[in-house]
Amino acid sequence: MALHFLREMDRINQQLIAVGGSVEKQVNDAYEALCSLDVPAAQRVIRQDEDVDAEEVQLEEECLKLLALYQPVAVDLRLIISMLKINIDLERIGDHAAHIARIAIRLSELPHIEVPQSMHTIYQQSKLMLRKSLLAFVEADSTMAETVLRMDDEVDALCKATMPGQIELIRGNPEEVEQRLMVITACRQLERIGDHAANIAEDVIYLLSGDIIRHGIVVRQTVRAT
Amino acid sequence: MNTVYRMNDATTANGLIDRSEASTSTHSKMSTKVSANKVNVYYGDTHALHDVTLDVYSQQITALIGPSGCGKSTFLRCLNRMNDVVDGCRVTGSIDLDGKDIYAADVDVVALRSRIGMVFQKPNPFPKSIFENVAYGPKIHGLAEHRTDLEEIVVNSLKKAGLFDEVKDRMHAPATGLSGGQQQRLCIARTISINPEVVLMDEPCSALDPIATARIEDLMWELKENYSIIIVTHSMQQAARVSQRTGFFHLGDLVEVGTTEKIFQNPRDERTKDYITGRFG
Repeated sequence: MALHFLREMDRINQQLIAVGGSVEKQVNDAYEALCSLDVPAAQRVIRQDEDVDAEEVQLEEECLKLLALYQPVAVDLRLIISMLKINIDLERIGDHAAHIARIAIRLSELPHIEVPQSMHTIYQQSKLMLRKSLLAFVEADSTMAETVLRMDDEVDALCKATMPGQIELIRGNPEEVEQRLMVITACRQLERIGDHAANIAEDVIYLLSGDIIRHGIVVRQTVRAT
Repeated sequence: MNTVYRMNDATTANGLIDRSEASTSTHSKMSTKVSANKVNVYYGDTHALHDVTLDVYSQQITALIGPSGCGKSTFLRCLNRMNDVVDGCRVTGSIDLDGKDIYAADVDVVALRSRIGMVFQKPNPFPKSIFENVAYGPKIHGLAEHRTDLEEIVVNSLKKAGLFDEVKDRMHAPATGLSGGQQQRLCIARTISINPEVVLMDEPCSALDPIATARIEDLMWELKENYSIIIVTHSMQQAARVSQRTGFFHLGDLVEVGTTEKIFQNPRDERTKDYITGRFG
Protein backbone atom coordinates (compact mmCIF):
# COMPACT_ATOMS: atom_id res chain seq x y z
CA MET A 1 0.00 0.00 0.00
CA ALA A 2 2.66 2.46 1.07
CA LEU A 3 4.75 2.01 -2.05
CA HIS A 4 1.80 2.40 -4.36
CA PHE A 5 0.69 5.47 -2.45
CA LEU A 6 4.15 7.02 -2.64
CA ARG A 7 4.29 6.41 -6.38
CA GLU A 8 0.91 8.03 -6.84
CA MET A 9 1.91 11.00 -4.74
CA ASP A 10 5.15 11.37 -6.66
CA ARG A 11 3.31 11.23 -9.97
CA ILE A 12 0.93 14.01 -8.89
CA ASN A 13 3.88 16.01 -7.62
CA GLN A 14 5.63 15.74 -11.00
CA GLN A 15 2.43 16.71 -12.75
CA LEU A 16 2.07 19.76 -10.53
CA ILE A 17 5.67 20.80 -11.17
CA ALA A 18 4.99 20.47 -14.92
CA VAL A 19 1.94 22.72 -14.54
CA GLY A 20 4.17 25.17 -12.67
CA GLY A 21 6.53 25.23 -15.66
CA SER A 22 3.64 25.79 -18.08
CA VAL A 23 2.26 28.63 -15.98
CA GLU A 24 5.67 30.29 -15.77
CA LYS A 25 5.89 30.17 -19.54
CA GLN A 26 2.35 31.48 -19.82
CA VAL A 27 3.26 34.49 -17.68
CA ASN A 28 6.40 35.20 -19.70
CA ASP A 29 4.58 34.82 -23.00
CA ALA A 30 1.75 37.05 -21.81
CA TYR A 31 4.14 39.79 -20.79
CA GLU A 32 6.10 39.59 -24.03
CA ALA A 33 2.83 39.77 -25.93
CA LEU A 34 1.94 42.86 -23.90
CA CYS A 35 5.24 44.57 -24.63
CA SER A 36 5.24 43.72 -28.32
CA LEU A 37 1.44 43.97 -28.70
CA ASP A 38 1.64 40.61 -30.46
CA VAL A 39 -2.00 39.55 -30.89
CA PRO A 40 -1.42 35.95 -32.10
CA ALA A 41 0.95 35.34 -29.16
CA ALA A 42 -1.62 36.79 -26.74
CA GLN A 43 -4.30 34.52 -28.20
CA ARG A 44 -2.03 31.53 -27.68
CA VAL A 45 -1.66 32.47 -23.99
CA ILE A 46 -5.46 32.65 -23.63
CA ARG A 47 -5.88 29.25 -25.23
CA GLN A 48 -3.13 27.82 -23.03
CA ASP A 49 -5.11 28.94 -19.98
CA GLU A 50 -7.85 26.46 -20.84
CA ASP A 51 -5.30 23.64 -20.59
CA VAL A 52 -4.15 24.91 -17.19
CA ASP A 53 -7.77 25.05 -16.00
CA ALA A 54 -8.33 21.46 -17.08
CA GLU A 55 -5.09 20.35 -15.41
CA GLU A 56 -6.14 22.07 -12.20
CA VAL A 57 -9.37 20.08 -12.03
CA GLN A 58 -7.59 16.85 -12.82
CA LEU A 59 -4.88 17.44 -10.19
CA GLU A 60 -7.48 18.27 -7.58
CA GLU A 61 -9.36 15.06 -8.33
CA GLU A 62 -6.14 13.07 -8.00
CA CYS A 63 -5.34 14.67 -4.65
CA LEU A 64 -8.86 14.08 -3.34
CA LYS A 65 -8.64 10.47 -4.44
CA LEU A 66 -5.43 10.00 -2.44
CA LEU A 67 -7.02 11.61 0.62
CA ALA A 68 -10.09 9.40 0.37
CA LEU A 69 -8.31 6.15 -0.35
CA TYR A 70 -5.25 6.37 1.86
CA GLN A 71 -6.11 8.80 4.69
CA PRO A 72 -2.54 10.11 4.72
CA VAL A 73 -1.03 11.69 7.80
CA ALA A 74 2.00 13.78 8.77
CA VAL A 75 4.28 14.82 5.90
CA ASP A 76 2.16 12.94 3.37
CA LEU A 77 -0.94 14.83 4.46
CA ARG A 78 0.94 18.12 4.38
CA LEU A 79 2.27 17.38 0.90
CA ILE A 80 -1.16 16.61 -0.50
CA ILE A 81 -2.69 19.66 1.16
CA SER A 82 0.17 21.80 -0.16
CA MET A 83 -0.25 20.37 -3.64
CA LEU A 84 -3.97 21.12 -3.55
CA LYS A 85 -3.32 24.71 -2.55
CA ILE A 86 -0.42 25.29 -4.91
CA ASN A 87 -2.56 23.87 -7.69
CA ILE A 88 -5.19 26.55 -7.04
CA ASP A 89 -2.56 29.31 -6.97
CA LEU A 90 -1.05 28.13 -10.24
CA GLU A 91 -4.45 28.15 -11.90
CA ARG A 92 -5.06 31.71 -10.67
CA ILE A 93 -1.66 32.77 -11.98
CA GLY A 94 -2.70 31.32 -15.33
CA ASP A 95 -5.87 33.41 -15.16
CA HIS A 96 -3.80 36.55 -14.52
CA ALA A 97 -1.55 35.71 -17.48
CA ALA A 98 -4.64 35.31 -19.67
CA HIS A 99 -5.93 38.65 -18.41
CA ILE A 100 -2.63 40.31 -19.32
CA ALA A 101 -2.89 38.70 -22.76
CA ARG A 102 -6.36 40.17 -23.20
CA ILE A 103 -4.98 43.58 -22.21
CA ALA A 104 -2.29 43.13 -24.89
CA ILE A 105 -4.98 42.47 -27.50
CA ARG A 106 -6.98 45.53 -26.45
CA LEU A 107 -3.90 47.77 -26.30
CA SER A 108 -2.96 46.68 -29.83
CA GLU A 109 -6.22 48.23 -31.00
CA LEU A 110 -5.55 51.58 -29.32
CA PRO A 111 -2.96 54.33 -30.02
CA HIS A 112 0.41 53.33 -28.66
CA ILE A 113 1.59 54.69 -25.30
CA GLU A 114 4.84 54.32 -23.40
CA VAL A 115 4.50 51.93 -20.49
CA PRO A 116 6.16 52.86 -17.19
CA GLN A 117 9.50 51.34 -16.30
CA SER A 118 8.06 50.22 -12.96
CA MET A 119 5.78 47.78 -14.79
CA HIS A 120 8.86 45.99 -16.11
CA THR A 121 10.29 45.89 -12.60
CA ILE A 122 7.04 44.51 -11.18
CA TYR A 123 7.07 41.86 -13.90
CA GLN A 124 10.70 40.94 -13.26
CA GLN A 125 10.13 40.69 -9.53
CA SER A 126 6.89 38.71 -9.78
CA LYS A 127 8.47 36.38 -12.31
CA LEU A 128 11.40 35.84 -9.97
CA MET A 129 9.05 35.23 -7.06
CA LEU A 130 7.18 32.62 -9.06
CA ARG A 131 10.42 30.95 -10.09
CA LYS A 132 11.79 30.93 -6.56
CA SER A 133 8.54 29.69 -4.99
CA LEU A 134 8.40 26.76 -7.42
CA LEU A 135 12.08 26.07 -6.84
CA ALA A 136 11.51 26.18 -3.08
CA PHE A 137 8.75 23.58 -3.54
CA VAL A 138 10.83 21.33 -5.78
CA GLU A 139 13.94 21.57 -3.61
CA ALA A 140 12.11 21.68 -0.26
CA ASP A 141 13.96 24.90 0.58
CA SER A 142 12.27 26.93 3.30
CA THR A 143 14.95 29.65 3.19
CA MET A 144 14.11 30.33 -0.42
CA ALA A 145 10.40 30.35 0.44
CA GLU A 146 11.07 32.99 3.09
CA THR A 147 12.92 35.08 0.49
CA VAL A 148 9.81 35.03 -1.68
CA LEU A 149 7.70 36.31 1.20
CA ARG A 150 10.06 39.23 1.71
CA MET A 151 9.99 40.07 -2.02
CA ASP A 152 6.20 40.25 -1.94
CA ASP A 153 6.26 43.40 0.18
CA GLU A 154 8.58 45.09 -2.34
CA VAL A 155 6.32 44.23 -5.26
CA ASP A 156 3.25 45.46 -3.41
CA ALA A 157 4.99 48.77 -2.66
CA LEU A 158 6.19 49.11 -6.25
CA CYS A 159 2.70 48.54 -7.60
CA LYS A 160 1.24 51.09 -5.23
CA ALA A 161 3.90 53.64 -6.17
CA THR A 162 3.10 53.25 -9.88
CA MET A 163 -0.49 54.42 -9.53
CA PRO A 164 -0.02 58.18 -8.81
CA GLY A 165 2.19 58.67 -11.91
CA GLN A 166 -0.33 56.95 -14.15
CA ILE A 167 -3.22 58.95 -12.71
CA GLU A 168 -1.21 62.12 -13.35
CA LEU A 169 -0.66 61.05 -16.96
CA ILE A 170 -4.40 60.42 -17.37
CA ARG A 171 -5.11 63.94 -16.14
CA GLY A 172 -2.57 65.36 -18.60
CA ASN A 173 -3.70 63.21 -21.55
CA PRO A 174 -7.36 62.26 -21.08
CA GLU A 175 -7.46 60.64 -24.52
CA GLU A 176 -5.07 57.97 -23.18
CA VAL A 177 -7.35 57.07 -20.28
CA GLU A 178 -8.19 53.60 -21.54
CA GLN A 179 -4.57 52.67 -22.29
CA ARG A 180 -3.46 53.97 -18.89
CA LEU A 181 -6.21 52.05 -17.10
CA MET A 182 -5.06 48.98 -19.02
CA VAL A 183 -1.50 49.56 -17.84
CA ILE A 184 -2.65 49.99 -14.24
CA THR A 185 -4.65 46.75 -14.53
CA ALA A 186 -1.66 44.95 -16.02
CA CYS A 187 0.51 46.13 -13.11
CA ARG A 188 -2.14 44.91 -10.73
CA GLN A 189 -2.29 41.51 -12.49
CA LEU A 190 1.49 41.18 -12.27
CA GLU A 191 1.41 42.11 -8.62
CA ARG A 192 -1.29 39.48 -8.02
CA ILE A 193 0.99 36.91 -9.64
CA GLY A 194 3.54 37.84 -6.97
CA ASP A 195 0.86 37.37 -4.30
CA HIS A 196 0.12 33.86 -5.53
CA ALA A 197 3.83 33.08 -5.61
CA ALA A 198 3.93 34.21 -1.97
CA ASN A 199 1.01 31.86 -1.23
CA ILE A 200 2.99 29.03 -2.77
CA ALA A 201 5.96 29.98 -0.59
CA GLU A 202 3.70 29.86 2.49
CA ASP A 203 2.53 26.42 1.45
CA VAL A 204 6.14 25.28 1.13
CA ILE A 205 6.83 26.49 4.68
CA TYR A 206 3.75 24.62 5.90
CA LEU A 207 4.84 21.53 4.02
CA LEU A 208 8.30 21.57 5.55
CA SER A 209 7.57 22.72 9.08
CA GLY A 210 3.85 22.28 9.71
CA ASP A 211 3.69 25.99 10.57
CA ILE A 212 0.86 28.00 9.07
CA ILE A 213 2.13 31.45 8.11
CA ARG A 214 -0.57 33.61 6.63
CA HIS A 215 -1.94 37.13 6.96
CA GLY A 216 1.01 37.89 9.22
CA ILE A 217 -0.20 35.18 11.61
CA VAL A 218 2.10 32.36 12.54
CA VAL A 219 0.51 29.18 13.89
CA ARG A 220 3.35 27.00 14.97
CA GLN A 221 3.06 23.30 15.62
CA THR A 222 4.38 23.24 19.15
CA VAL A 223 6.35 20.23 20.20
CA ARG A 224 5.32 18.72 23.48
CA ALA A 225 8.12 17.17 25.48
CA THR A 226 7.71 13.49 26.25
CA MET B 1 -6.08 -6.62 54.66
CA ASN B 2 -5.50 -3.80 52.29
CA THR B 3 -7.91 -1.00 51.84
CA VAL B 4 -10.67 -1.68 49.38
CA TYR B 5 -11.22 1.35 47.21
CA ARG B 6 -14.91 1.95 46.84
CA MET B 7 -15.80 3.62 43.62
CA ASN B 8 -18.49 6.00 44.76
CA ASP B 9 -18.05 9.42 43.23
CA ALA B 10 -17.93 11.33 46.49
CA THR B 11 -14.96 9.73 48.17
CA THR B 12 -12.13 7.40 47.61
CA ALA B 13 -10.19 5.65 50.30
CA ASN B 14 -6.70 6.47 51.52
CA GLY B 15 -7.15 10.16 50.92
CA LEU B 16 -6.76 9.80 47.17
CA ILE B 17 -8.00 12.62 45.00
CA ASP B 18 -11.73 12.86 44.98
CA ARG B 19 -12.86 12.22 41.45
CA SER B 20 -15.89 14.49 41.66
CA GLU B 21 -13.59 17.29 42.80
CA ALA B 22 -11.21 16.62 39.95
CA SER B 23 -14.03 16.77 37.46
CA THR B 24 -15.08 20.22 38.63
CA SER B 25 -11.55 21.56 38.63
CA THR B 26 -10.77 24.09 35.96
CA HIS B 27 -7.74 21.99 35.08
CA SER B 28 -9.61 18.72 35.11
CA LYS B 29 -9.04 18.13 31.44
CA MET B 30 -5.33 18.07 31.99
CA SER B 31 -5.05 16.64 35.51
CA THR B 32 -2.80 13.63 35.66
CA LYS B 33 -4.61 10.41 36.45
CA VAL B 34 -1.91 7.85 35.83
CA SER B 35 1.75 8.66 35.88
CA ALA B 36 4.30 6.11 34.71
CA ASN B 37 7.89 6.87 35.52
CA LYS B 38 10.86 4.97 34.06
CA VAL B 39 8.93 1.75 33.72
CA ASN B 40 11.00 -1.23 32.61
CA VAL B 41 9.54 -4.66 31.99
CA TYR B 42 11.53 -7.88 31.69
CA TYR B 43 10.21 -11.24 30.58
CA GLY B 44 13.01 -13.43 31.93
CA ASP B 45 16.09 -12.14 30.13
CA THR B 46 14.10 -10.19 27.58
CA HIS B 47 13.99 -6.48 28.23
CA ALA B 48 10.55 -5.65 26.81
CA LEU B 49 10.06 -2.04 27.90
CA HIS B 50 12.77 0.56 28.36
CA ASP B 51 12.34 3.47 30.75
CA VAL B 52 8.81 4.36 29.71
CA THR B 53 7.66 7.64 31.21
CA LEU B 54 4.13 8.69 30.37
CA ASP B 55 1.35 10.69 32.00
CA VAL B 56 -2.27 9.84 31.31
CA TYR B 57 -4.76 12.62 31.91
CA SER B 58 -8.29 12.53 33.27
CA GLN B 59 -11.20 12.72 30.88
CA GLN B 60 -9.07 11.99 27.90
CA ILE B 61 -8.49 9.09 25.57
CA THR B 62 -4.84 8.22 25.21
CA ALA B 63 -3.97 5.96 22.29
CA LEU B 64 -0.90 3.76 22.23
CA ILE B 65 0.25 2.79 18.77
CA GLY B 66 3.20 0.91 17.35
CA PRO B 67 4.11 -2.22 15.41
CA SER B 68 3.50 -5.68 16.84
CA GLY B 69 5.85 -6.53 19.66
CA CYS B 70 6.71 -2.90 20.39
CA GLY B 71 5.59 -3.11 24.02
CA LYS B 72 2.33 -1.18 23.94
CA SER B 73 0.19 -4.04 25.28
CA THR B 74 2.91 -4.90 27.81
CA PHE B 75 2.75 -1.31 29.04
CA LEU B 76 -1.05 -1.43 29.17
CA ARG B 77 -0.94 -4.59 31.25
CA CYS B 78 1.43 -2.91 33.70
CA LEU B 79 -1.23 -0.33 34.46
CA ASN B 80 -3.54 -2.78 36.21
CA ARG B 81 -0.82 -5.22 37.18
CA MET B 82 -1.95 -7.89 34.75
CA ASN B 83 1.73 -8.69 34.26
CA ASP B 84 1.84 -9.97 37.83
CA VAL B 85 0.33 -13.21 36.61
CA VAL B 86 2.89 -13.68 33.82
CA ASP B 87 5.66 -16.06 34.88
CA GLY B 88 9.10 -14.48 34.84
CA CYS B 89 7.76 -10.98 34.32
CA ARG B 90 9.44 -8.25 36.33
CA VAL B 91 8.43 -4.59 36.41
CA THR B 92 10.64 -1.77 37.68
CA GLY B 93 10.03 1.96 37.92
CA SER B 94 6.85 3.41 39.28
CA ILE B 95 3.25 3.79 38.14
CA ASP B 96 1.11 6.14 40.17
CA LEU B 97 -2.65 6.30 40.14
CA ASP B 98 -3.75 9.63 41.58
CA GLY B 99 -0.26 10.01 43.00
CA LYS B 100 -0.15 6.63 44.73
CA ASP B 101 2.19 3.89 43.53
CA ILE B 102 0.13 0.94 42.31
CA TYR B 103 3.10 -1.37 42.86
CA ALA B 104 3.40 -0.40 46.54
CA ALA B 105 3.37 -3.34 48.94
CA ASP B 106 0.09 -2.34 50.56
CA VAL B 107 -1.93 -2.19 47.36
CA ASP B 108 -4.73 -4.71 47.01
CA VAL B 109 -4.48 -5.82 43.40
CA VAL B 110 -8.12 -6.88 43.19
CA ALA B 111 -9.22 -3.47 44.42
CA LEU B 112 -6.78 -1.81 42.04
CA ARG B 113 -8.30 -3.68 39.10
CA SER B 114 -11.71 -2.44 40.11
CA ARG B 115 -10.35 1.08 39.71
CA ILE B 116 -8.57 0.29 36.48
CA GLY B 117 -10.81 -1.83 34.31
CA MET B 118 -9.85 -3.58 31.12
CA VAL B 119 -11.52 -4.48 27.85
CA PHE B 120 -9.78 -7.08 25.74
CA GLN B 121 -9.28 -7.60 22.05
CA LYS B 122 -11.70 -10.50 21.83
CA PRO B 123 -15.08 -10.07 23.52
CA ASN B 124 -15.02 -12.45 26.47
CA PRO B 125 -18.47 -12.58 28.08
CA PHE B 126 -18.91 -15.06 30.90
CA PRO B 127 -21.05 -18.08 29.97
CA LYS B 128 -23.91 -16.52 31.88
CA SER B 129 -26.88 -14.34 31.11
CA ILE B 130 -26.52 -10.76 29.90
CA PHE B 131 -27.75 -9.55 33.28
CA GLU B 132 -25.37 -11.75 35.23
CA ASN B 133 -22.39 -10.64 33.15
CA VAL B 134 -22.90 -7.04 34.19
CA ALA B 135 -24.07 -7.85 37.72
CA TYR B 136 -21.05 -10.01 38.47
CA GLY B 137 -18.61 -7.20 39.32
CA PRO B 138 -20.96 -5.13 41.48
CA LYS B 139 -21.89 -8.30 43.35
CA ILE B 140 -18.35 -9.39 44.22
CA HIS B 141 -17.35 -5.85 45.09
CA GLY B 142 -20.42 -5.40 47.26
CA LEU B 143 -21.64 -2.35 45.43
CA ALA B 144 -25.33 -3.23 45.72
CA GLU B 145 -27.17 -3.97 48.92
CA HIS B 146 -30.48 -4.91 47.39
CA ARG B 147 -31.59 -6.56 44.20
CA THR B 148 -33.13 -3.30 43.02
CA ASP B 149 -29.77 -1.54 43.46
CA LEU B 150 -28.11 -4.23 41.42
CA GLU B 151 -30.72 -3.97 38.69
CA GLU B 152 -30.21 -0.23 38.58
CA ILE B 153 -26.47 -0.64 38.20
CA VAL B 154 -26.93 -3.22 35.43
CA VAL B 155 -29.42 -1.08 33.53
CA ASN B 156 -27.31 2.06 33.87
CA SER B 157 -24.16 0.26 32.79
CA LEU B 158 -25.90 -1.22 29.77
CA LYS B 159 -27.28 2.21 28.92
CA LYS B 160 -23.86 3.84 29.22
CA ALA B 161 -22.47 1.11 26.97
CA GLY B 162 -25.20 1.83 24.43
CA LEU B 163 -26.52 -1.72 24.62
CA PHE B 164 -29.61 -1.50 26.81
CA ASP B 165 -32.18 -0.90 24.08
CA GLU B 166 -30.93 -3.90 22.16
CA VAL B 167 -31.06 -6.33 25.08
CA LYS B 168 -33.73 -5.02 27.43
CA ASP B 169 -36.17 -7.74 26.38
CA ARG B 170 -33.73 -10.59 26.83
CA MET B 171 -31.70 -9.70 29.88
CA HIS B 172 -31.64 -13.30 31.02
CA ALA B 173 -30.67 -14.79 27.69
CA PRO B 174 -27.11 -16.14 27.35
CA ALA B 175 -24.58 -13.40 26.62
CA THR B 176 -22.83 -15.66 24.16
CA GLY B 177 -25.85 -15.32 21.87
CA LEU B 178 -25.07 -11.66 21.20
CA SER B 179 -23.21 -10.51 18.10
CA GLY B 180 -19.49 -9.70 18.35
CA GLY B 181 -20.09 -5.96 18.58
CA GLN B 182 -22.82 -6.44 21.17
CA GLN B 183 -20.59 -8.78 23.18
CA GLN B 184 -17.83 -6.17 23.19
CA ARG B 185 -20.26 -3.50 24.39
CA LEU B 186 -21.43 -5.95 27.04
CA CYS B 187 -17.82 -6.33 28.16
CA ILE B 188 -17.56 -2.54 28.33
CA ALA B 189 -20.78 -2.45 30.38
CA ARG B 190 -19.29 -5.11 32.65
CA THR B 191 -16.13 -3.06 33.04
CA ILE B 192 -17.91 0.18 33.88
CA SER B 193 -20.46 -1.51 36.15
CA ILE B 194 -18.01 -1.28 39.04
CA ASN B 195 -17.38 2.37 38.27
CA PRO B 196 -13.66 2.30 37.49
CA GLU B 197 -11.63 5.47 37.07
CA VAL B 198 -9.47 4.25 34.23
CA VAL B 199 -10.48 1.96 31.40
CA LEU B 200 -7.79 0.10 29.50
CA MET B 201 -8.71 -1.15 26.06
CA ASP B 202 -6.47 -3.59 24.25
CA GLU B 203 -7.43 -3.45 20.57
CA PRO B 204 -11.13 -3.50 21.46
CA CYS B 205 -12.34 -3.27 17.87
CA SER B 206 -9.96 -5.54 16.02
CA ALA B 207 -12.51 -8.35 15.92
CA LEU B 208 -15.41 -6.11 14.96
CA ASP B 209 -16.91 -4.91 11.70
CA PRO B 210 -16.82 -1.18 10.80
CA ILE B 211 -20.34 -0.50 12.11
CA ALA B 212 -19.67 -2.16 15.48
CA THR B 213 -16.32 -0.35 15.55
CA ALA B 214 -18.01 3.00 15.01
CA ARG B 215 -20.42 2.27 17.88
CA ILE B 216 -17.56 1.43 20.23
CA GLU B 217 -15.71 4.59 19.16
CA ASP B 218 -18.80 6.73 19.77
CA LEU B 219 -19.14 5.05 23.12
CA MET B 220 -15.52 5.83 23.99
CA TRP B 221 -16.18 9.49 23.23
CA GLU B 222 -19.08 9.48 25.65
CA LEU B 223 -17.26 7.51 28.32
CA LYS B 224 -14.23 9.77 28.33
CA GLU B 225 -16.25 12.43 30.11
CA ASN B 226 -16.17 10.21 33.18
CA TYR B 227 -13.17 7.97 32.72
CA SER B 228 -9.58 8.08 31.60
CA ILE B 229 -9.34 5.73 28.67
CA ILE B 230 -6.15 4.19 27.35
CA ILE B 231 -6.50 2.29 24.12
CA VAL B 232 -3.96 0.13 22.37
CA THR B 233 -4.77 -0.03 18.70
CA HIS B 234 -3.23 -1.18 15.47
CA SER B 235 -5.52 1.09 13.55
CA MET B 236 -3.88 4.47 13.22
CA GLN B 237 -7.09 5.90 11.83
CA GLN B 238 -8.81 4.77 14.99
CA ALA B 239 -6.14 6.38 17.17
CA ALA B 240 -6.52 9.57 15.14
CA ARG B 241 -10.31 9.48 15.35
CA VAL B 242 -10.82 8.81 19.02
CA SER B 243 -7.83 9.94 21.05
CA GLN B 244 -6.68 13.30 22.33
CA ARG B 245 -3.13 12.10 23.02
CA THR B 246 -1.11 9.47 21.24
CA GLY B 247 2.02 7.63 22.26
CA PHE B 248 4.13 5.77 19.74
CA PHE B 249 6.04 2.70 20.91
CA HIS B 250 8.85 1.05 18.99
CA LEU B 251 11.08 -1.82 20.09
CA GLY B 252 10.17 -1.31 23.72
CA ASP B 253 10.74 2.45 23.72
CA LEU B 254 8.09 5.12 24.02
CA VAL B 255 9.45 7.09 21.09
CA GLU B 256 7.10 10.03 21.14
CA VAL B 257 3.97 11.18 22.90
CA GLY B 258 1.95 14.27 22.21
CA THR B 259 -1.42 15.55 21.18
CA THR B 260 -2.96 13.31 18.56
CA GLU B 261 -3.22 16.29 16.26
CA LYS B 262 0.50 16.89 16.54
CA ILE B 263 1.51 13.23 16.18
CA PHE B 264 -0.58 12.78 13.04
CA GLN B 265 0.18 16.11 11.41
CA ASN B 266 3.76 16.75 12.28
CA PRO B 267 5.49 14.12 14.38
CA ARG B 268 8.85 15.07 15.80
CA ASP B 269 10.61 11.73 15.51
CA GLU B 270 11.50 10.16 12.18
CA ARG B 271 10.46 6.73 13.43
CA THR B 272 7.00 8.01 14.30
CA LYS B 273 6.71 9.64 10.91
CA ASP B 274 7.84 6.47 9.14
CA TYR B 275 5.38 4.34 11.09
CA ILE B 276 2.29 6.47 10.76
CA THR B 277 2.92 7.11 7.07
CA GLY B 278 3.32 3.38 6.46
CA ARG B 279 7.02 3.51 5.60
CA PHE B 280 7.65 0.64 7.99
CA GLY B 281 5.81 -1.60 10.39
